[in-house]
Amino acid sequence: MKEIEDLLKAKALCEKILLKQPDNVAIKEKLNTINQKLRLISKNLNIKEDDKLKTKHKADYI
Amino acid sequence: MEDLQISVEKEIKELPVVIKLSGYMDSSTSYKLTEVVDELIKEGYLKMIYDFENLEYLSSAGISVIMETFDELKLKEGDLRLVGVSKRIYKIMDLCGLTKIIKILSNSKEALESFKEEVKEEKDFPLKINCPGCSFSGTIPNSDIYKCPRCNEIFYIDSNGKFELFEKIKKQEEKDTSKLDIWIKSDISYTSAIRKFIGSIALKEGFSEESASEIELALDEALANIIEHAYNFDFSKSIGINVTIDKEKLTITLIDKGKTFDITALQSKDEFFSSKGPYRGRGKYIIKKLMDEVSYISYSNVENKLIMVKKKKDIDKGGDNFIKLV
Repeated sequence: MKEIEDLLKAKALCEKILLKQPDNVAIKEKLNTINQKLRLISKNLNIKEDDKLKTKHKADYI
Repeated sequence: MEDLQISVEKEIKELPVVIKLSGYMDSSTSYKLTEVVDELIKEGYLKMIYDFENLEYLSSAGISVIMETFDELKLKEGDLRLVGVSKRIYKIMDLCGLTKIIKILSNSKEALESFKEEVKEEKDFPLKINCPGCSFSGTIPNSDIYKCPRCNEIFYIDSNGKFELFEKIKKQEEKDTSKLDIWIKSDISYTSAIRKFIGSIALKEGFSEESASEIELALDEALANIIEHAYNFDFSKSIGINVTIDKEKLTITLIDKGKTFDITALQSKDEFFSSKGPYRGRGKYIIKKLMDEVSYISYSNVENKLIMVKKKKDIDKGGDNFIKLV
């Protein structure tokens, strides 16, 4: 969760810089990377939740 | 009709634009300057010089327009200079506080020079920097987003070595992240819950598991000493516990109103490790060893204070250099 918090802060920082420097390519790329990472983490979290649910359903069935 | 005439002298975007104003700048004319400036900003001109040499009149509406332009340019990392300001207009600007905010120079040549001085040279990386949030010092390999291992401040450093922060740095007094002030019964059965609680707070505040368990043990020993020696197992008495944690250290202050029992007065290490040594008193030794600072204040048997400080080590602080975030 700390990683997500840090990434969200970094994302906000990138957006703040882009307000001042809309043409800063390095920061735009950085923002894309952060968004990709956040999506990946979110996807992994969902998969873990799904696994838990599947296990629970299986246990209920047995 | 009193009008405002504007002429623009511009070259490449990197150089300042000189905007010459003449006539009257008031509520009915200052919009003209806004239109011209907005267009220039859209084109990418972010450094401007307003030449007031032939400006005859400036009202508060004109001052508002100047301030709006200045703020917008600053937001976009640009800047504004004023030149050729007459005594009369300077007085009005001074009344409105403008002279403290915007640089006023005598002529365009001086203003152009002042812009040149501000062009910063690119810094050589790796660069040794101090964290903008605390005193931590480290080396960064290039311009990027970093996190301070000590105070967790997230910042961007550009190729000129200039910082951009995620949020405004908080004042020192706002940095005390946890404060706890409670009184417990002088009962040995309470100590376990208290030490576990404070240990878990230490972990949450960034201390390593090893440091947190050392804090727990020192606290346990100190409480046991107060219950036994200051209160002689009188469970009707109480012990005050004050804990403050900031980015650098954890401070525990234990307060009792019992007999003075100086925990800092220690037997020597050799006494403990000899077979003829004392059976008791090792708790004091452990506290001294595990905590970084231990002091004892006694107010003539009215109130005793034991102050124990545990400083964050590099391992607690998350490493010995800035962390690249992405």
